[in-house]
Amino acid sequence: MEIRQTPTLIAFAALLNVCFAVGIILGSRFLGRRGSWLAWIGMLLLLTAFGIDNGFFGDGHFISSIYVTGFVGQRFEPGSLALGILHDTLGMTFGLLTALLATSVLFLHDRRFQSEVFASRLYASLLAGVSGVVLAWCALTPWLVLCGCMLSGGAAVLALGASWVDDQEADRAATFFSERGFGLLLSCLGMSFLASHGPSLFFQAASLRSLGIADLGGASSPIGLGFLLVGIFFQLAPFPLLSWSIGRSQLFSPTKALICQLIPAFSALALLFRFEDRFRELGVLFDLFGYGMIGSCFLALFSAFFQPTEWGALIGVWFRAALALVCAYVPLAGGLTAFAMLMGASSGLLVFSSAQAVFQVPQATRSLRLLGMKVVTFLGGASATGALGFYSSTAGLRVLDQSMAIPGLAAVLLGALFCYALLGWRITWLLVKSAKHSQTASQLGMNTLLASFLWVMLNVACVWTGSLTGGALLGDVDRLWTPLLAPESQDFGLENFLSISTAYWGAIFVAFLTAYWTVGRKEDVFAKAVSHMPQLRAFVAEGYGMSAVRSMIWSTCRMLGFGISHVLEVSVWRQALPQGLWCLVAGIAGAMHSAERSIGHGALRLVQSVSGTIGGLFQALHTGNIQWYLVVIIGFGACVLVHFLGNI
Amino acid sequence: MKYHMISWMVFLPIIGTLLQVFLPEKKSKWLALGSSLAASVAALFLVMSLGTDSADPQAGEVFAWIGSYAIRYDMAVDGFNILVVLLLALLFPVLIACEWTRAEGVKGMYSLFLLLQASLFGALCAQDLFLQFSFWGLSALPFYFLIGIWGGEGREKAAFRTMMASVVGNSLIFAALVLIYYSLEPHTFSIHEIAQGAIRQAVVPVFGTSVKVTTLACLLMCGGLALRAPVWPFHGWFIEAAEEAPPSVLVALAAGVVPVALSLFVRMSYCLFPDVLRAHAPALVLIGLTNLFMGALSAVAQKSLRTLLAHVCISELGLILMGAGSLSPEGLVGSLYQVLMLGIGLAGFGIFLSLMTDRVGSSVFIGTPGTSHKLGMQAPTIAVVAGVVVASLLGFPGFGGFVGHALIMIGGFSARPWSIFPLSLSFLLVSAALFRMYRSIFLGKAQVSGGPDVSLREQLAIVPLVILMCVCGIYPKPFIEMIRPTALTMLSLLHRDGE
Repeated sequence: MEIRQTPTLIAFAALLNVCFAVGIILGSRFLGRRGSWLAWIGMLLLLTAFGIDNGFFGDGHFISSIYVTGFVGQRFEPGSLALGILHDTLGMTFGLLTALLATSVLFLHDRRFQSEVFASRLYASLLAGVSGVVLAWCALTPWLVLCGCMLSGGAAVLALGASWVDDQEADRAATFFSERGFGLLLSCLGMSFLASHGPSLFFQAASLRSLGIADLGGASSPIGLGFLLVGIFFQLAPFPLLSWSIGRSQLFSPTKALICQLIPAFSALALLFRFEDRFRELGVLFDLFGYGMIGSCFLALFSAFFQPTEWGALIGVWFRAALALVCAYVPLAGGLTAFAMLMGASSGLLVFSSAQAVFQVPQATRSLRLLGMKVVTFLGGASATGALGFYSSTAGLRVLDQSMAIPGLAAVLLGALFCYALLGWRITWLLVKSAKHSQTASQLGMNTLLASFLWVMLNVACVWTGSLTGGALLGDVDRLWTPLLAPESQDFGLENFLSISTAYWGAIFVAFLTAYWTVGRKEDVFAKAVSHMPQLRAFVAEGYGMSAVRSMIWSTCRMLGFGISHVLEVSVWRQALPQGLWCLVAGIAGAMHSAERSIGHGALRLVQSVSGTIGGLFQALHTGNIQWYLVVIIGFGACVLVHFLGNI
Repeated sequence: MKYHMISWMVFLPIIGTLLQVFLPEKKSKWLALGSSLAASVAALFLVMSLGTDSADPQAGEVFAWIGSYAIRYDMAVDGFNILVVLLLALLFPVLIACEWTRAEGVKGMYSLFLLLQASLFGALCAQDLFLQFSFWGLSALPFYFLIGIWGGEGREKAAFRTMMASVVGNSLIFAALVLIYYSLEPHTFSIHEIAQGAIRQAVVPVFGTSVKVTTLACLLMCGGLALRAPVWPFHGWFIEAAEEAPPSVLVALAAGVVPVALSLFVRMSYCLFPDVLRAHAPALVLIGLTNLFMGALSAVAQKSLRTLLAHVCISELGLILMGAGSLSPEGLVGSLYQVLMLGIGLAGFGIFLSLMTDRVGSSVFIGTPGTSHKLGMQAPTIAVVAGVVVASLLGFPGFGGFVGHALIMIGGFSARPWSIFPLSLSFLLVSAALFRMYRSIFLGKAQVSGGPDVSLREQLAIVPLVILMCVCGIYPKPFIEMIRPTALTMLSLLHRDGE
């Protein structure tokens, strides 16, 4: 690994794509063809950048490298926010894969995009979403991953914007961005908590230490990692957050699959995969997360079986279950195993969505192309369910091998894989049968077939593992070259190999047969059985009443908030306090006024009485009788006085 | 003295106010805008010329004012106030532009806005407590008239209660001033001289008990600021003012006065009362957390954009208080940065409120039939602006609010890890409230006619704010570098005095 002085071309191309996306939105009225040419330029630039940075052009060898810069504070300072680019195999794989998938969808459905009312939003969301995934997977620090998640989530919301005028679609869009928003906020909280307990966060700390960069080992923080996991959970939205996936959407299905499901999931998984070594510090808590995701997968699959045969809900919920399994695989068997599972689910999602778009509208076309589309649909189902020869099968084998040490876990995982494969094959048969019933497929061009085939080929085992059967044969006898991502061999040992292989392939085969027997041959037995249980169906299909729980929590919060604000702001501040103050002031003023009056009256009365007495006395003096009495008294008094004075 | 830029910044709006009297209404609009812009240009000049390698106050202007009482005209800018200066520089021209089409009493309204701008700038930059109090007290007066004359149906009560809260708050601050003044020998109002530390030994007898002057003065001053800030549970007047005031006045209150009050609080607590701050930092964090949670919980129940804005403001200021109480570099820098983002975010929200009120005639977005507007298709620009504002207020990556939020949390969590749980709940509640608001107003089938999208004048008012929200989220470094030296210096002094 080496240290770069400048960011990679891929990072520049991704940022340029974001600018293009903004330009398409702002200038859609002025750009020709609603800005599609700008979208094409963006994607081509991105692919070219991938080629140059990975050595496809020129001398052709790949070198891992990093680039780091400070965002807030110095780059290696504790508590700072640093941004960095990590150029490694896994990141390039994810980024290139996303770019290729987006380019293929653009190639396939450009005419369909042009016919949409808000085509510019679709082009812009495609560019922004791909850029988000590229940034998330090229990130050396989790802060840039969060920016990538923000971009890809925002792109998905923008894509949903084409259908905002319908109330149900609007509710779905609101639920979508609420869940992603919550997930993003919780991830930011978790990240901040981790950053507060140690130096600036980086991925691949061990590799960076080998480059002589200062010790980056931060203190482990279960709370921060826990919040991060919960945030990732919300962003991926498995059960119980199925409400957005359930229900028919007006958005064109491949668009919805790529922009609203795959791209946000890829971005969110960057955090889970890159931080795997830190999450393992949680110990048993991380394992519990895995077990919880297995449970979520089961519940989602069960709900999918109760969905009406409307593709938006069925395929959407199936993919949610797949994501739950991917998340379960990370703690149980590692990131690369989960990646294999994700490859299968992604290729299946795209193929199913395209088949749905093709088969649902009846119009005339060539029967050979229709047959080809059915074949590709079957291949898609095989790819999605981990059949022989596909990369996704290695995930099932490896996770069963890792779980053998824990009693019962292997059985549970096998059950989950069986149900997952059963649902995948059910969808496959239903799609193929609907093509038959709709007589012909609409506008089925060769590009649709080729693109769908490409998506299946991306999951072929020998591309990733170098083994034709993906490790189905003992001793890797069919290996052609070194695996692309990690030089791991699937050497389970003879005893384990036989039991794991038997269990896994047996489950897949039984699932295929069950699907054929219940769905492929005649009518859909599941749909028929479920139709006899309307209440249970309504409960399970709507997500086990989670909407009601959510509404109840929301109502409780609103009631509390209303109560507190009403008591404080109305009862206290507008009524009690003013009245109380007024009473206090009025009371004091009244008391003082009364006291003043009393004192005044009292003083007046005193003055009146004194003056009355004196006045009365003087008045009495002026009357005649008193005068003579006074003369006698004064004369007598004078005589007594003279007498005593004379004696002295 | 940087060409007396601070004085120009403070007195140009006052000159504009005085000249308003002599001009007819049509010309007075342009005079008001010109005066405000001129003051803003002076402010921007100060911001751009601030040296980032020093924590000392810069662009200082010192004159003796009332010499016999040691009262000076002492103005300067530093890391504590520079970002709020930038905020006010952007805010007031936008507010004046928002009221451009008002039919009645325009001259009076503009005069009051200019007076408000001058008084807030003055309060922010003053380094003398008496001078600061003069400007701060003056800033309360315009709201009485702005709400009382141009407000809604209950404007008289709202104006009166706003005024009473301000009067009580200012009285407490004045009591603190007098206490500090007479506790020092020689008497002084200068913040720098008070901060030297002599006041920390002073005590005052209260009902027979000796109480430290710093404790009592801090209590009085913080109580006074809390009334005007407004801090929960002293926020009742603010909610009433939010319901009755015109949108631009509400923005002036939420995005102007609140950031200034927070800035003053941080300056006073770190410069004058570091010992009290050190001793009661956990209490400050708890108050902040209470504001954050209660504001969020109350926001969930709101049906009107006005009260929603008010409660979001209360919630966000709680976060800033938590950052200030963390006593860590990241927390303090984050809180100072978040003051700017709070102001910008609330200004954007208020302008969006103004646009909505103009178009649909009501700020109620949920509850009665026909009040859910669903305007995403009719007014896409407003929808995008509202989306950016919501994202910034919530602290999503890529927007300015994210940097402030992240720094406050990084700084706060290490000292008080338990705060993550109520904090996360508060964030989820606020985000749910804002998402619900967005869904009601912009998404779904339109039920009322929303009118035209933004006009050129409105775009000129709102685009700078939106751009700043994005720039602050993508490239915050220049803003952070303005505040870091002062923040780090103050923290080192605070911790050194504690040892």
